Amino acid sequence: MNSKGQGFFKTLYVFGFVLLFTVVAALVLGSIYGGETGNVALIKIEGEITTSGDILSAGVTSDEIVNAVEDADANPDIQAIVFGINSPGGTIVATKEIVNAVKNANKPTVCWLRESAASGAYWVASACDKIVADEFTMTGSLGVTGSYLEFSGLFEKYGVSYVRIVSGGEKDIGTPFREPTAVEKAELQAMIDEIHDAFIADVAKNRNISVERVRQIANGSIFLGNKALELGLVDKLGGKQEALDIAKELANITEVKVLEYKKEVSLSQLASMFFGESLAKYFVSQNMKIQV
Amino acid sequence: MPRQKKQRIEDIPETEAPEPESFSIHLPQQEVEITPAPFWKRTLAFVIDFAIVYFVFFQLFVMIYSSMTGLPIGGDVDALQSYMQLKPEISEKVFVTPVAGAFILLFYFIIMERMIGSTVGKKLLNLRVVSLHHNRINYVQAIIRNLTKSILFPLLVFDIIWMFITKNKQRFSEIFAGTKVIYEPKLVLEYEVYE
Repeated sequence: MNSKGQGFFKTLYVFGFVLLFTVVAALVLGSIYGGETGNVALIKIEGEITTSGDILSAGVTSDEIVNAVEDADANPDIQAIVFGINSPGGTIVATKEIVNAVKNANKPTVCWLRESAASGAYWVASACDKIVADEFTMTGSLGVTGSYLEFSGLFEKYGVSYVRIVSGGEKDIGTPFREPTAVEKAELQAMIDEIHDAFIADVAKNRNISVERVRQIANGSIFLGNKALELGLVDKLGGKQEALDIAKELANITEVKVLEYKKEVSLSQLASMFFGESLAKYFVSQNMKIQV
Repeated sequence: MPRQKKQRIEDIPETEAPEPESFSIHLPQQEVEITPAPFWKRTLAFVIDFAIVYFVFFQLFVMIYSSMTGLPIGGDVDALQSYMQLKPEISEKVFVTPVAGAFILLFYFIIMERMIGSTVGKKLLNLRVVSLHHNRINYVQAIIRNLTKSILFPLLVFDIIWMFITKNKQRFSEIFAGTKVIYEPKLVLEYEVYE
């Protein structure tokens, strides 16, 4: 081989060496900073929906879900979002926050209802483009509850009295230490009714069903998947695969690669668990809740 | 009268080369002048090398790294920016890319100049990197002279200014490393074969 040929092969050899370095660098850095990838986001809504929670909570917070939805919507790799719902509902504002996030998503959304998707959880589902449920999924329960524990009888039994010093007549409405007055009960009922109306109107709009039709079934009744399909509350019977198939079709993608958004536990949450803050929070938070 | 024909020396296979005593080689009369590489040739060579590193090595890096991290690097810049605004924690992962690119560029120059005394761009323009005694440079020299072309890029302008005031047209880092870049015109040896 002449010197020109030798020079060419030596250059090629060195070129290959640089190429190898590049590949190794990419693999090493990719494994250090790497994460999972996919084109369909799977966000699970499991347990009670609340605005705040900790790692002891069985449910989800609206912050977690809203962040996940916004992230998936902004991520250019993600083409569709599938929600795996297994929840009895939750607090009204937390539910509304998630409903709004789902509606604001620019990508196709599919809700896959599992064991139960009742009340507020169904409200979230109704915001999706399509809903898939198992024939035995418990759904519906389109209603609002407002409840709290009232201890006045118990306190009386043990000789504990409630000293009421308030600036306004209804400042301590909903306190567990005395019975509510008739006026207070009526006011609370009016609030519940107002939320119920908004719930019905929004579900009707999301599902393209008349408000009257939704009102007929919005008496808190629970429906199995079969009945829900009949009533127009869901679009198809099936499970995860059916939900992914619909997502694939809506997003117009050839192959589905699922990227699951998992709940992240921060160090501060772990610390609060060990120092008992969560337990204290639990007792403090037992005031009146309006739930859907 | 012997018939003469001109042949390039590299065209003759080694095995078929005539015995030394059977022919004579007449080297060209003119001397090959080795001069410091002109600025424009060096700039052009750098542009060629940068393009090779960017379009071959860096794109390969981005392809592997983005597929492993799930980051939309190398795609829509606006989409990446809005994603980074939403998730500032990914900035570190994204920042790795240009840093890695600078190191790949550095590695390319070091290995090429140390092992073959040149780079693809320099070869195309007949430039060669040598020590002050015209020997092949070592790794330390290769590293020092290439820092401002890669990871210390902001200092390149300061480094280049020295080329216009030094005799051998050396950058500051080249003076420090004891290296220079020379222009070496391609020598085509022609010889006469007497049959």
